[in-house]
Amino acid sequence: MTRNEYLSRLRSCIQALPLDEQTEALEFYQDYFADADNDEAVMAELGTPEELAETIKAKFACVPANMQSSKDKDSEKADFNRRTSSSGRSFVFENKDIRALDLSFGAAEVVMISGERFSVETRGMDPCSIRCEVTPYGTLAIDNQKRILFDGQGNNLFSNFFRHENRKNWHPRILLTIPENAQLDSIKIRVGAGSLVTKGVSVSSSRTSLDVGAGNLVFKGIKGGLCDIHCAMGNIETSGTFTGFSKIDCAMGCIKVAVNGTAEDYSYDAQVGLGEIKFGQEKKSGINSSCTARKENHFLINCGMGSVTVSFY
Amino acid sequence: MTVNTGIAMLDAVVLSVVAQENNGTYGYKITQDVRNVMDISESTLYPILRRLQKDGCLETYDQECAGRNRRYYKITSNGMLQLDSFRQEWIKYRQKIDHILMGQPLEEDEENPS
Repeated sequence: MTRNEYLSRLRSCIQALPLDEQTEALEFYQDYFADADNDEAVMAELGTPEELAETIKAKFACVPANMQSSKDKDSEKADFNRRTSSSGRSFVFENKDIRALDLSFGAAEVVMISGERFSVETRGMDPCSIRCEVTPYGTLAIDNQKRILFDGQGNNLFSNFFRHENRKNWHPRILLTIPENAQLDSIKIRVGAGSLVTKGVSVSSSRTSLDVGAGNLVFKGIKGGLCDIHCAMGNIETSGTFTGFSKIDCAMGCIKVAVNGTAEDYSYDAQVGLGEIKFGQEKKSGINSSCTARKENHFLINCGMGSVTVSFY
Repeated sequence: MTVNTGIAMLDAVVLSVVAQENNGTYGYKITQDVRNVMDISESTLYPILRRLQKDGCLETYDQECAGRNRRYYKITSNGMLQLDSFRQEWIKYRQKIDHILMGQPLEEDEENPS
């Protein structure tokens, strides 16, 4: 492993921390490597990036990011801020208990990485506003609900949206870890205005539903069929194996699907309004509808004003 | 060494290592200096430095060195106070240990249970 690989793995392991903590830690270890000038010895001493990340996270789990910078430390408001802004929570689940994922996020920044177990860490959000539970069926359901909070001075505050004061500290972040090559019955992800990005994740799911309002969803490394991709104004980027019947529905946003396979094995049925569809080498734009002879693997594409790209690799 | 060292001891050692350099010192050097006297893992130093910084005992600044910016740590006046109280504690503690371990007389200079 090179120094840069080590640091970038470290970066992805500490993403649940507030941004300034991430930067601070990375800069420290960049300096450290440069000063030590013996990458192998340093890596041997520091342990794996994952182990190092644990020591960094463990020390900060209980230190709110704004503890030092908070100017209104003594005012009544401080208690509210401490309670709501940077307190972190974490949940860990047994792998055998989880058969499906159902994620619904309003405005949070969500990162999904692969690890040993299903776990969820949150930062910078009201601990009460995240619901995280496993249903009897084995669905890990996570959502950050929009709740109205009262700060004790007659002001009500939306817990996920529109809290302009103290903006810097108000940065909801969620880190999801899922086991490598997890096999699930279904994955259902809804992103409102936030973002969900996967990094180095590989998961198979017999049924997948990706739904984005105005946010951004990057979900790579998925193996499965019966994929339902829906995008209103946002952006969806996904890649992997899509067998059987898949549905892509795009209103004004942008959907990019990279399929592991060849265009010859897939058929499609496309409806285009003012948007544009690219399927392999073919390109459709303007109001039209077209279809090819039905094959085992099929895409049903409906594109209003947005853009849909299906490519093969 | 086989004697156990707690968090407070680590803080004290880190603070005094940083305090020895008037113009501040940097992460790698601090780690090496601390490891000269204590057997601790390299990975524990960063969280300690960061916490001391957050507590206002250390401050940082960037300075160019060999074509890149290196982060330097410097002790603050708050940190000096903290270090001073660590030193007082250490003197008391050492006297007690010396008394028990080495059979030296306990110096009861001040009857001052503060």
